[in-house]
Amino acid sequence: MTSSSLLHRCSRFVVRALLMSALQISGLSSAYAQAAEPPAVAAATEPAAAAAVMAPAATAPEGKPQPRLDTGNTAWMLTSSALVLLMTLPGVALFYGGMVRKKNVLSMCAQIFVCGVLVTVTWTLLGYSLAFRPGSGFIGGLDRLLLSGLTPDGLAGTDGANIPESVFWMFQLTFAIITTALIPGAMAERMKFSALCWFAVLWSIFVYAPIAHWVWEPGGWLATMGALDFAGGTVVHVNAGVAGLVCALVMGRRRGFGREPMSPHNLVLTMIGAGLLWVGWFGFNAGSAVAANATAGMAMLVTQIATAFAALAWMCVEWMVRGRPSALGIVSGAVAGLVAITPASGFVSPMAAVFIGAVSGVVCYLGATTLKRRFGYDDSLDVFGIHGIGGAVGAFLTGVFGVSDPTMIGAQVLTQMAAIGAAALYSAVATFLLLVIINSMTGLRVDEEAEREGLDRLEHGEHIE
Amino acid sequence: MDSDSHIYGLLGRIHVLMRRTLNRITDVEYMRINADYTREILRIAMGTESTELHELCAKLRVAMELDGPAPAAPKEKTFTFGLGGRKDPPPEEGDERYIGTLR
Repeated sequence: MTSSSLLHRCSRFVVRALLMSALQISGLSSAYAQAAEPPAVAAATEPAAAAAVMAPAATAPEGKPQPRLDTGNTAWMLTSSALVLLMTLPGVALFYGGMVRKKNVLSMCAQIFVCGVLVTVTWTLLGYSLAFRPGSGFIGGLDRLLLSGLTPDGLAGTDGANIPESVFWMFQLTFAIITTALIPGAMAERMKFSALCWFAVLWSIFVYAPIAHWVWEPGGWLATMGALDFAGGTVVHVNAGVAGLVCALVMGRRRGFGREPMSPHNLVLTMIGAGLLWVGWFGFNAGSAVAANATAGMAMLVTQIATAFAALAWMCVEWMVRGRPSALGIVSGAVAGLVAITPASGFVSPMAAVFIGAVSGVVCYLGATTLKRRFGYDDSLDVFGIHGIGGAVGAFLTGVFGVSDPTMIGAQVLTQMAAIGAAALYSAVATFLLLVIINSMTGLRVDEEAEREGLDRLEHGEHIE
Repeated sequence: MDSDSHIYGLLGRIHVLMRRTLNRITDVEYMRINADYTREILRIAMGTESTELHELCAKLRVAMELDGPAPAAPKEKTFTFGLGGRKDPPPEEGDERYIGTLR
């Protein structure tokens, strides 16, 4: 298919989508009018391990008390949604922006920002429906296409949480945004902005949404199998890390990689970004309880502990190996701990968090240094080394520490490994195919002049002094 | 002398501006290794009216030490503390630590 015909089809799709959304405005208007009536209620659902969207009020069985919106849970989830968005904008943007060379910092930040923009569009059009609506075990239904049927009185969340579906939608959107926004770090300083835009759109629909459905929608095949992933070790970090590695391999190395130093331009920005990530991660992990309850409290506690121990472990290893601890190493260790505790945060004890944090600090240090040098790939900002490996370590150890019955540890570990493998395999293959498609449309990589001059000037017409 | 990445950045920008203003193509790699060739290109560049090009030429002269090396700063005696106690300072790594790796 030529790029012009593809663009033509896309424009037709967008026009059709806009027409459909215009038709829905009248329906939504009446829904908002109804919201002025007494508080809306929704029917209780079957207990679900993962966050599920509840049935509308009209389907509540007779004689069963109708659930009412929980204002405490809703307040916490509103806060969590803002915290997770803060992780990307500006958290990841600053974290990544400080690590690239000065000539590419605006380009890096622009790529992260546009991921937030484009994933919001795809999540509105069909991403949410594909990820979180009941369908098959592999993909969700289309009943929330263009947000049709999402009304102010619809409730969602785990059983008993009773938060508005709009808040649930927003919370899950911020996860889709940050997962997509992690990947540009692997192909930093050499990807065309236009290619990145296409990648963010297609990847969020064809890779993120299906894997989120497998793990987090109660009918997803990995959820049915019993895979544990409280806040996204597999869905977010293994997925983004593996996709990042594939992108780095397909794009090839930056010019001069391995021959000339590629010094980070401002590690203070990276420190600020890492701080925002740490704070925002409380929304990410504690928010994944989808309620303001004891699970959320424990998730917050173990997140703090694991992060500190991972930073300490990375720092100690680097100090021993290189004779001094680097600032970038300490913040990288903290991010490794945040990543690794993510899938386990709702299931494990504080002592398990100590272990998970310490192990992830050491393993991710090796992933970002030894492993990268050994194989010579140019994963620019170590997306695979930290997110891919840290996510896999966390998901694996969730199987060890996340079950209450010791006799079940072996089976749970096998389930976790299957989930990690399935997500990694799908992410790798689908990401590769998307890159091939985008390459045929726009090309993936900037030319030599742009790479030497810097993407800020030649891709965006801007620069910083 | 400045890091390679800084020098290559300047060379790249000079390359682009030379092409725009004089339609003249420069060999960036050869400029990096041959000071005489670089001086000649800079002489031509200084003949243009582009102030941006002039500024870049001045920066490149300093970065590549085309007018002789800068005086060395006095070396301070420093100590670092490893887990094993006091150590001699490790060898200066400079930007070389970022060759082929970030962390």
